[in-house]
Amino acid sequence: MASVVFQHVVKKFGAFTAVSDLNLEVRDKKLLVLLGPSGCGKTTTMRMVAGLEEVTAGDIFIGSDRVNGVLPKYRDVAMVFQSYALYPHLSVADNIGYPLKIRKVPEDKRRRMIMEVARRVELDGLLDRLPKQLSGGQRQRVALARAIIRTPKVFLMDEPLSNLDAKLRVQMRAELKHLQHELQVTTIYVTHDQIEAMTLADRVAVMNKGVIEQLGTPREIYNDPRTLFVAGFIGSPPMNLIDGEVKDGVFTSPGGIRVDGLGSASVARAVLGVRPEDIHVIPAGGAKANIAAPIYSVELTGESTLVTVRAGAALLAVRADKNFAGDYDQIVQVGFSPERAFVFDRQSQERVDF
Amino acid sequence: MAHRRKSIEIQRVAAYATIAVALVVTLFPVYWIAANSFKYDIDIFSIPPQWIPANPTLKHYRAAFIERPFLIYALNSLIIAVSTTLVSVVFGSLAGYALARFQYPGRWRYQISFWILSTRMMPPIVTIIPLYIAFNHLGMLNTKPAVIIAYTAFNLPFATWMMKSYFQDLPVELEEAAMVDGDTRLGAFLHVALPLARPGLAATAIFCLIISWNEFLLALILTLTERSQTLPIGIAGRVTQYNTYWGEISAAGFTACIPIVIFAFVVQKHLVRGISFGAVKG
Amino acid sequence: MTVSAGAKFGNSFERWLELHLRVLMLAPAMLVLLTLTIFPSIYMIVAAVTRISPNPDLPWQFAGADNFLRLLTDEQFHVGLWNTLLFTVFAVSTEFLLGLGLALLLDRYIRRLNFLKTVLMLPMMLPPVAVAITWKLIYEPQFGVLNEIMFRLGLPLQAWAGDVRLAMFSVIVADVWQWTPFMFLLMLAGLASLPDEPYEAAAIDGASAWRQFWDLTLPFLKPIIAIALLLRIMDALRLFDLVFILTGGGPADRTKTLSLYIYQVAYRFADPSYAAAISLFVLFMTVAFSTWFIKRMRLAD
Repeated sequence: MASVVFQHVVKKFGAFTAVSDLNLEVRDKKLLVLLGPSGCGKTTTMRMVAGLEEVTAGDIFIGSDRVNGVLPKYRDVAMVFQSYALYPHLSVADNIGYPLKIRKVPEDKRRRMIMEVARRVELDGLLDRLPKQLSGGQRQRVALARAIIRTPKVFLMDEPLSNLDAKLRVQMRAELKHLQHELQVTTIYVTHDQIEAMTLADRVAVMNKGVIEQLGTPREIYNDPRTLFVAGFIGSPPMNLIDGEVKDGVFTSPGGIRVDGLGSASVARAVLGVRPEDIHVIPAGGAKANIAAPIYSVELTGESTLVTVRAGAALLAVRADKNFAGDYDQIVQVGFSPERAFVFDRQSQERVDF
Repeated sequence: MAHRRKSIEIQRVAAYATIAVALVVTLFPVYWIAANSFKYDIDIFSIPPQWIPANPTLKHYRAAFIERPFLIYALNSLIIAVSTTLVSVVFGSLAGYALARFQYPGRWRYQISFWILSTRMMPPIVTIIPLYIAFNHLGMLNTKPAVIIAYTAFNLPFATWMMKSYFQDLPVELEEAAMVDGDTRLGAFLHVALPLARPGLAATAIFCLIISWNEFLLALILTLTERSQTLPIGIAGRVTQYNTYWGEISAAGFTACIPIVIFAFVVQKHLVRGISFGAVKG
Repeated sequence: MTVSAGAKFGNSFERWLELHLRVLMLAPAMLVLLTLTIFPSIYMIVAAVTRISPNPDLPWQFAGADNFLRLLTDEQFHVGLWNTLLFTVFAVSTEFLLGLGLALLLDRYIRRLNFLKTVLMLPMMLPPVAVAITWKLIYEPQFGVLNEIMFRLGLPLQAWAGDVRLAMFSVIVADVWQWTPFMFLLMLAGLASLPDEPYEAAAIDGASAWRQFWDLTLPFLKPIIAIALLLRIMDALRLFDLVFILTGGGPADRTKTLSLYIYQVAYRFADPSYAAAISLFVLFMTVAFSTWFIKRMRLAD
């Protein structure tokens, strides 16, 4: 078991900087999710741990070993690829046993370990099949089994669930979480799916353009976004972000939204952020409405109703009660408590505390 | 509507007729050389031609393969073709993999690939004189290794390009997975990439085999003795200024075709893909 | 589990191998090709500007451009060049038209018939020597099949490959027989990869089959047509086997190609310097043409 530490890691592909000055510690036995949009450098970061990419500058440590320039086979990491990367010419058993075969583990011991791992991921009946004869979920399990058969120092998972259908993804997510808890192996998990990140992670590192925007527990990332990017990226539906101006603690937007009680902050180009579930539809005559606006659309999601209202040029999403009823262009009043709102500086993209 | 359907019917019949004609034209010469190889000389020269051998005989086969050294020629052809193919496929796979997978500074990958291909554009007649002189100096004229080396140079560019495209079509994650699982790069190539490129290896090998089996000019110049000559050279040798030994060359010529025909049908899937592919991508 | 650092990160040989794998894998092929193309090229250039005596003990003499100047006045060379171009133009264009036509037919009426494809491909795979003697047999003036057919049709008998007027035509027919399958196959591969949607759209727009062919099929096939033509032209420019056996270059040099002439100059007239000069001309011609053609057809991308 080991921690993984990045110190001032830089990765360039020609003139393009994929990762710039990355400092990060993945704690022993914990699961860290690298979360970000495609091209943000998260996969490159993971591949540098595996040794599939060489760092341009900086150091990577696995445990106490500096692994710069060490061949992948000596890093003792296991990786689950997005495409699973099962060897199409080998049976399920041979796929799972490949890492052991390479390490010259004796045949009988190997077979025993394959059986054991296969039972754990419920593949025992399929060991003689070829990968192409398996369903997507089964292939995913084979990839997992191949990774866990030799209890490596670090698991690397590159969007392992993204090729599964929605239902299976939820199921596999729970299995993954349980497995990681059981095996107690340090894990780096790359995904662009924030729900996966929230549900799986001990800590999440949100990456954007080769830089970590924020590192924290899922709850911190959600409740306390430090940058505009993190605020917009986390949450579904995403946080409402409204451009406007803050003067002496009062936010006003061109669309007619007004929020009082933002301390004594003043920001010339401000962005007000507030999550849809923190905004409420206020019955007619209620006092603390922030805006009265026409309904743009009403979407019933089941456990709630997503109401979008038009505030000038901007649209404002509101999570309302599941019994909410309203028609297009009907004027409704919506409001929220200023404590649930965030103010960001458009210039620096950072959050402004108040 | 009925009128339209009728015209489509006519088109279809015309199409089938054309294809039938193409088949006859394609197959008749092959049939004709086979038919003549089984005729007595007098029947070969008969006017009008004898369409089907009336008195089939193996006389010419006996003459060619027992009285004359065609068995040696055939054996030489076989040894040379197989050796050339082995060397070309091995070297071609290595180079093809290197070009498909590794990083190169600047435009080197493109430059090297293009240079390898461009060597194939050189007409053989251009390189044959220096090769002859070099092999002469080395005392290698009339030896199989000389022919094999020359043929390898001839086949390698194609083999490299073909294998390069096959490797490029393989997902790179498989080799990466192998490396993370504990293989070296070389191990990933040997254990994962190579087994998966088997169709490519087959197609490349078929091509090298056919080209080497058929080749004429290089063998003509590099081999002058009966012991070293190949089947095509042996056949050409029986077309002299004074006499053409029709029966014998028909027998030998047809023999030279047989392995190719059998081959073509056994491996037709690889063949069609190989030719189109080699030309389209290479 | 603790292991010593050396064992952990692999021995030095393994590291060295991994670092140099790129070069090591390229090396065998590169070495073979370098030796077998660079050396001959240098030799040809040196030989072309010298006068090599048939007596190997005499030193080579520098001859400057003499060998190249001879090209200007050598009538046999002009004949060879003319024959080569004539052959290339007629053989390749016939092969192209026949191959394309057959491919269109087969693509439309008979799909997925590998067996038929393989049969139609046979000629291009057969040894050129066997092809040459087969046609020699067919062209034979006295007992050949072709004259039998002419006789049955009431047409005058011909000497075919032995006739001054018909020799080149005979060579072209044999070559067309052998190489039309190549064009056919490539065109078929091209047709098989055409997308369906534009044709459906064109059919809805009311375009005739003929218009669809000109406006859709041909533009789609253009890259593959260009490659097929290029490969065939490069091959045709170096024609040797067929004429060597079928006609020996005759009658009256009517089928003598440049390759055949180089062979004669080098081995019958034992003049490697002049042969080198002609070879370089052929090489230059091939390279110049293919470069122009590739640029023209925008094949580089």
